[in-house]
Amino acid sequence: MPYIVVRPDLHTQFGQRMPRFCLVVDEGNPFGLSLAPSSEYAECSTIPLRRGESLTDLLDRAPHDADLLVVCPQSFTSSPTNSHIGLDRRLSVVPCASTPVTPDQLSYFLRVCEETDHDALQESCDRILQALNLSEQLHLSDARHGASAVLETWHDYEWNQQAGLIGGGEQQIAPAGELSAVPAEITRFDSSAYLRLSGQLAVHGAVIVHRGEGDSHLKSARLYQELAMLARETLLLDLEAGLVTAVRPAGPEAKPAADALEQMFATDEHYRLVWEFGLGLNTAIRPVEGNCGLNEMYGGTEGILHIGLGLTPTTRFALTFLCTGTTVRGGDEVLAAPARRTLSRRRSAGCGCDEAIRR
Amino acid sequence: MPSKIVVNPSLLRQLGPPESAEFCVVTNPEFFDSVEIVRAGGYADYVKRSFAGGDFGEFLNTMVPERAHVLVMAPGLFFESPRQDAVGSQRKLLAMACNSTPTDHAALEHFMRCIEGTDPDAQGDFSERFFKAAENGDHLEYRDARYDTVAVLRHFDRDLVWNQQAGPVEWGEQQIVPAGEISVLPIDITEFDESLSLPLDGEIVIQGYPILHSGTPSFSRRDQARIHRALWGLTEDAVKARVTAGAITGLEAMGPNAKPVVDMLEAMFEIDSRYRTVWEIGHAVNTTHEILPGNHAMNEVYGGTEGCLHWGLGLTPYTQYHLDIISPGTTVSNDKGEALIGVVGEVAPVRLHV
Repeated sequence: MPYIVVRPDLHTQFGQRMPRFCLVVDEGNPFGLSLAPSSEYAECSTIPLRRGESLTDLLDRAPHDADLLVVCPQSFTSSPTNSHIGLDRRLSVVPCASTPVTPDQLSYFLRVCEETDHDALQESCDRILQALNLSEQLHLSDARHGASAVLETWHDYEWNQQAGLIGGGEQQIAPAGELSAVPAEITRFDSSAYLRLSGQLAVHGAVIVHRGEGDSHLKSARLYQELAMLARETLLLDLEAGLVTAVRPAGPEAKPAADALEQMFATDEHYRLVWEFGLGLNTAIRPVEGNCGLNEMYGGTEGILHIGLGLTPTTRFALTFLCTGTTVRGGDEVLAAPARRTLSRRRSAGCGCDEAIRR
Repeated sequence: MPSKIVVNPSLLRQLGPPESAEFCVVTNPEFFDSVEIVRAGGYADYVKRSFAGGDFGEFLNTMVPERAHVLVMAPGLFFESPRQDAVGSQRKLLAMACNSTPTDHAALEHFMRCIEGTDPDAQGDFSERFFKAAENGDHLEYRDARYDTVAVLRHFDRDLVWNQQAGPVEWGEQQIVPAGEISVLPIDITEFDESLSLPLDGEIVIQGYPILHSGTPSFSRRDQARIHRALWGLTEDAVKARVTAGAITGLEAMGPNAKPVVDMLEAMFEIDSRYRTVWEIGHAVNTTHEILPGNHAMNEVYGGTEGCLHWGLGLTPYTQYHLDIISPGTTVSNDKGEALIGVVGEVAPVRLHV
């Protein structure tokens, strides 16, 4: 069976290593995750997450003094508490169950994990947090579409950092690279809380439709198909006090996506609430095609804004929209901007003209 | 009695620490007894295996230790890179590029020294600087100051594929060795498309060391040698070529030794017009390499001291041969004057093995 290599030594999110490395996989390891040898760890092992088992339960039987990497595309994994993880363990979780993920995509994002510069991510977060402390407002603008909005920052939002080295008892998503704000506790939808976000926002780029636990990928796939054109087209959202008050296609080609979003609002008004204001910071990612949750951390070259509508299970789906044409400024600091051009670069066994490596 | 081909795994820095792996050299029956492995580097064991052809993936599964650093030196056969699942997460594979040109005992010895001389971290750093400068520019300029020529590659005009064959080899990976090249092609080549080409326009100078690679199409070694001999005049004199939308539209011999070269290239264009397309531009970064005179594929990564350019014409198996011409006189920079390969205005030094 084709397999996916996991190289413990290249997962530098753990910083100074614990003596043990544990790879947590779905029962039966359907994606064929295979551990490479390590010089950083005294002991490496693979632990299956039993069907229906929570990470909390797994931690009861997992070794201590360990760095754990959780890669379970078939299991929804809710976050254990820090005390349950324990100071002698760190948890890095690839969040790959809420959207379908192919072996190639998983392999790609594990490679991104290996290439992620965690010190650089920490520096980005430090710079952004400082800008947030100094600026009452963030200014969002998409010059091409004439859209502009303001987020008032000095309010009681919960800011969540998924970047930097993971400390004892801590957990982080992988690939890392996000700083985000929600208007209330991150896992509890509260429609009385809202982000002070007003103006007009241009949505353009990858779209992610996260399914809820217990739901199948089928329904989210249909919705995704209707919104996927936003990789090429743009929607303009009118916002007032964190609510989407109107949806406008930037051009006639975007109308089907606008209609699909309006339909969502008609089904469930909760989708109007912008639940998440996120800054993707991982510059090693090039978004993959398709409905892939791991695209969320895409950071372009200087950070990329994304917003989240809905929160499962309160809403059936959760939607993430990237705003790749938007510049976010806090005072003089640029916190997100359209990506500079990059080249398609790949590590290769040989020269591209070598017949022996082409198949 | 030929001398031994000595393989010292402790000198192969691209492999990294063994982590209880065995070291395995795979070679052809005719070289088996000549290969001598130095038992150094902290490996669990040092073994040789004889490979006489067939499915290499199958050979790995059945004949090669499961946790191993593997060096393949198997000239004289068409060697096809194994699929990743045959390599396995417990192996690293280095394969000498010794199949597309005739490779004898002396060549294997020489290029083993080149592989040992490879500094993977330096090549990795070179690659990072290369891509940073490439992405910082709107286009790239390929100049030969001796002939005052320039060709422009508008590298953002379309999605080109940049292959980096340089740096350390991780578990589960394979590398053709000696390594040290960043090559750009118009597409991820799995299907040839005649309409594709690099967005390259202007004048280029082809002058230096030609390599004529064979592939899976039938060919005769005598023809390969004869054609290569006809191109050897490039070591003395230059050919200036006009390039329009990535294809050669005119050739000019810049000295008497280049005249037979122009004749041979024109003959190749006549037989197969696809040879006109500059399919590949090779930016070689192996700055410790020495060129072995002759027709040797493993010379391709020759990187001077600041990198060295080679032009690539033809693409096997579509054309019968693939021709690389190492051209130390060509420098590469972006439109902001940042150097990527070589030093603008200078010719890269040539280290020849004598």
